[in-house]
Amino acid sequence: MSRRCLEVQEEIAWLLLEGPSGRAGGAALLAHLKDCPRCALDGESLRVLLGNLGGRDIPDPGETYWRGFLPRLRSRIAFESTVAASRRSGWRVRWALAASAASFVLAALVVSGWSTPAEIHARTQFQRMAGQRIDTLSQGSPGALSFDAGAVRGGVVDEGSSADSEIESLLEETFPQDDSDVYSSASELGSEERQRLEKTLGLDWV
Amino acid sequence: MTSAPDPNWWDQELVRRFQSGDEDAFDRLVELHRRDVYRLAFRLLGSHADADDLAQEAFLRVYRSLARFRGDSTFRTWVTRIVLNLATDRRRELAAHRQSSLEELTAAQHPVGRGEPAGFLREEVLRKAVGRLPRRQRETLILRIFQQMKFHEIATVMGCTVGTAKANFFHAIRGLRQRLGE
Repeated sequence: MSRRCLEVQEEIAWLLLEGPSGRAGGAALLAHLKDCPRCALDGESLRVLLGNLGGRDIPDPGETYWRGFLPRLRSRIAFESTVAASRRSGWRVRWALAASAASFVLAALVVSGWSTPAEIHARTQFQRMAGQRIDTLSQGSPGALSFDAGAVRGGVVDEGSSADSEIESLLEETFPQDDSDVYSSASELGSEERQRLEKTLGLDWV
Repeated sequence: MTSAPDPNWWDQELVRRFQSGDEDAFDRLVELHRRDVYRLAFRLLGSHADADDLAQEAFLRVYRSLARFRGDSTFRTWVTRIVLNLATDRRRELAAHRQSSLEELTAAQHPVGRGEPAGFLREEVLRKAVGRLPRRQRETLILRIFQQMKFHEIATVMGCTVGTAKANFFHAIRGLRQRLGE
């Protein structure tokens, strides 16, 4: 097979595909086909092949199929739109629920006094400290603290008594500010702690 | 003398109308292109069921994306590319399910030689030979021979140069001839 034969194979395909007006179809090609029986045979087999390919039509599915094609497509589109819309509304419901929950939490915070975490922490610390002091006082260890509740109740502490001065200093440590602070702080104590403090100190806080 | 209306111009006009809110324009586009799309799908996949499924899916994608179609290529080229992409995915799925192996097994158990018309046999042999070509060669061949697309259109659809499209085509022809034993 000559170099010219290889070129001709491609040109024959062009000739068959594009017709004589294509880039092939020159007189030289036709002359070669006339002189070269191998290329002529090759060209003929290619023509048959392309003819078979081109003539190979697919079975038509029929008019009923074509009539139903667009309506089926339209129902698929409608179905997709419905699914997409329900997905969107699903998200809307989720957002509404989240917004309601957030509003509820916000309202609860406002109603409960809107304490910041630092304030809550400080209050807890104070309550724990007061509780510890009350425990210490109420245990009334005779050696450590000779506790005279009556003296405290009356607001009179004998200056000469070391136990009394110890109680006083403890009270000052527990409630270091003026009385108003003590009262307001005490009002924030839990009811149980407050009762214990009242009972121990014999004071009316309210 | 009146010249024949340019189908691409009419496609563009329908696309424009759809993008302006005319839903009926989409229906017209489907009616104009459904047969070509179905035939291409059939040739790529080889069965009515797959071709129907693919044609519907292709137009569904067209519907979803048509609002954003800018007309860089013709509508026909764009749709053809969608069909080719879908067909590639579908063939991959079929390969994964070993569908082709099953078909071959069935064919081996029921040889078509006896009692079948010669034309049917030739069709079958051709169909299988085309189906076994490498993907891009097969697609190029189908677009050129069956869809009558020009090489510059094929190049646009396939995302390659015209030279590559031509080379693919001739490789496909050569491969077919080898497979068919000349």
